[in-house]
Amino acid sequence: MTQTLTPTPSAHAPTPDFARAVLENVARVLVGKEDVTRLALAGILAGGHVLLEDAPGTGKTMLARALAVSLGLDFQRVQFTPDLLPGDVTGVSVFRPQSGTFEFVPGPVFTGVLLADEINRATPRTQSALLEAMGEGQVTESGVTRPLPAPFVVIATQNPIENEGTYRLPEAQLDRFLLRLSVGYPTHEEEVRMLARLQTQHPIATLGAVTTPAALLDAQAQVRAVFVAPEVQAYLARLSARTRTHPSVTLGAGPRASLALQGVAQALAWLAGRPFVTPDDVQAAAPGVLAHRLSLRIEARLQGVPDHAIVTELLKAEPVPAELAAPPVR
Amino acid sequence: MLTAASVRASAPPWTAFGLALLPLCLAGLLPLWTAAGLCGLFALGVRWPAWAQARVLGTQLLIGLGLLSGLPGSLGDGAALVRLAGLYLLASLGGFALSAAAHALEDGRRRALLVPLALGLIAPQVGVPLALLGGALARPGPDARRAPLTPPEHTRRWWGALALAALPLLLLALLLPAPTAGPGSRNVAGPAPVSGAAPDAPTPGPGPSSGTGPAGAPLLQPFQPPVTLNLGQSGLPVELMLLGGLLLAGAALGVPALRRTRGQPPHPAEWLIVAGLLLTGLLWVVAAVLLYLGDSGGSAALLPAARETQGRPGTGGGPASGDAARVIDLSWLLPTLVWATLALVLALAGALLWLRRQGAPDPDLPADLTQAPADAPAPQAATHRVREAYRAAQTALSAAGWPRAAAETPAAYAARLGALHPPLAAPLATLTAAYEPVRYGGRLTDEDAAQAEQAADLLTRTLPTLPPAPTEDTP
Repeated sequence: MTQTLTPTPSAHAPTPDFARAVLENVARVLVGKEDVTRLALAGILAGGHVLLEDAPGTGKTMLARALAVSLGLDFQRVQFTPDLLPGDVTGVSVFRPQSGTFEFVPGPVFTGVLLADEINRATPRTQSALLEAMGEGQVTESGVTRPLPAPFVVIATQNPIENEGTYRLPEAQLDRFLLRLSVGYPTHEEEVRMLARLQTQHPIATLGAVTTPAALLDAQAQVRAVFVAPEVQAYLARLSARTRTHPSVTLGAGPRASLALQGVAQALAWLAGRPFVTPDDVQAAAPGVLAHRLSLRIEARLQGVPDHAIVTELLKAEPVPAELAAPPVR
Repeated sequence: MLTAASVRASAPPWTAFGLALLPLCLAGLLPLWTAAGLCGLFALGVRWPAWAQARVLGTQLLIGLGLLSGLPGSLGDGAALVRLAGLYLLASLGGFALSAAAHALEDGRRRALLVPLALGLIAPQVGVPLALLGGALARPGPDARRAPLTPPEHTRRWWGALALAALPLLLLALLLPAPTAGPGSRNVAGPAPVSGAAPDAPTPGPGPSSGTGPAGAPLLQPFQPPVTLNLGQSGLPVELMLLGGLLLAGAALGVPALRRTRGQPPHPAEWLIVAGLLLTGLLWVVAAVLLYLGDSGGSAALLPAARETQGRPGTGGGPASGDAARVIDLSWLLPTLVWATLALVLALAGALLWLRRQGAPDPDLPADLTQAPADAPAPQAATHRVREAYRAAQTALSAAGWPRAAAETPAAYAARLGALHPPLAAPLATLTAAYEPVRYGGRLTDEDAAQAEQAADLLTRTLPTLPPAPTEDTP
């Protein structure tokens, strides 16, 4: 028997081959980090930018490079330093005496994947130069607006341990990053495996593209079509709203965060070959999407409360939309 | 990671306790302590579901006790007794309606709020808006609503037999000669307020017209109904009430038998149920006899005061004796109740017969095929079969001590329980895989419903074979 059906889930057939190929390719150089790779790929599929935050030597840059290569995108790396100028990132207009005109020389931002390494070492002025590029996919220089190539992804890294000579990313900049991920140290077994695999040659040199930019754009369109049930949307919105009323938070996640959470959840569902989003997708995406958008109270900071712990606490408190058991009958 | 505390079954949300305010709509008809007791009973039912089963008859018990407290003041005054009997019947029917409304509200039906509104309009007072507010608060969200419970087969048989027995009795009652109506309209009411007392306040003090109330016992003053009801000509066959009382008393005898078949010790709520049934049955019989005597005019010995006080100003009996503004005309109520009850019983009997016919095997089909429809699920129009199956499985798992935490996703729940008890892993995975597309994917086809129902059934059958869930007392 078939009942009348109303909301039809997205009609497309997900292509897990795309995801599997990219994930396997990245796994060749990054051992035991499938979860963070999947989340980073979800961020890219959702059309966002990814901030990798962890201690030095945990594979942040390697993950960014492997993703860029695997996706077949142009790749530019900028080592952010205190003397880096905005023009060094976005490009500058150079005067050509021969023609007597200014010619725009594009900066490294005009690429498919921009790796902003140690982004917190640049001055806020230079960091802010990326705002327009990340938010609107364009660069304005000397009054002229130039679009960036599509797809355009910024993968930035920063070391949260060092404070000397660093400039904390402003909230507006942090909000432009769809996800903040931590790569984390490998387990003992993973580290042994990595040593064996990289003993003679680093496989990043032999890594090749497994897909094309056009395929990525197509995948991004499919991700946007993944069905999100109204109840799941309400759940997601409640989670965002709870961050605004948490006693340890002065500034919670905004509506942009809700949109980001939905996008990443859609991408995770698509990566799982599912044409609809479940609360599991939302819960998997929430720490990466919400934590870096929270501004904690000074008391919480002094007590060393990590922002992701607050998101985890909220996830444990917010009921998911699912059937409840009937009251027990004795 | 879920902690043990988060996995433990949680108490109902505070809004659910709004249901406890619902009986306040009856505060205009009942003593205040009875209304408070009803509030307490409803609150118990919200907190502990076993007490919710005693809600209907516990309500009747408290209503009966509440109006019995007015009996000492009415003894020796026939008119007062008749008034008390009429008021009891009205409050008793209101109690049934209120219990049904509470049940419907727990199912999320907003229309059930019309019941406390209607009951409150009979005797308006300040508790009515509170009752409505509480009812509106208690209405659960879509996920918190309970699944429709199917009673066990032996329970259905018992109630079916009871309903079928009621039909011929009802017809017999209607065919019997109706009692002769008494002169003029009959008033079922409390005494007129003492002169100088506030018109809205129940007047404490001695009995109304007879003056035989326990004036010397201030702690046990009889209840004096604060409203005056004009019930008009009696159209209600007293035999109906008599039989109703007898049926309720019969049902009281059946409840312990049902419990014995389950092999469980009686719960305090069950004692409440039996007490409620017995008292309600008894009071319905007594009220029927009283109203019959009041109507037939053959009870001069019992009701001299009733005859005398009707129409005589200044005495504590009918509307003429009290505040005319407080007379509520309910002359339409009794005939309406007769026809409504008749229609209800007929509909119930028809439905039972129809269900019996539906369940009967088709003689043209082989025997093995005719057994299939008995297991086939009833069509669920409101909730998808897969969701019902998931809820049933979750109910069984919760009862076994493994509830799903409110913030735990179905997939995480299945993974946790599957790791804990490998025999549950496969049916839980099947059930969750069928549930997620229905719940989150907008898929409304019944493609995997049978599989989900089988998985839920397998889960329910597997649960008794597992070791008991650890409790707080488990070291």
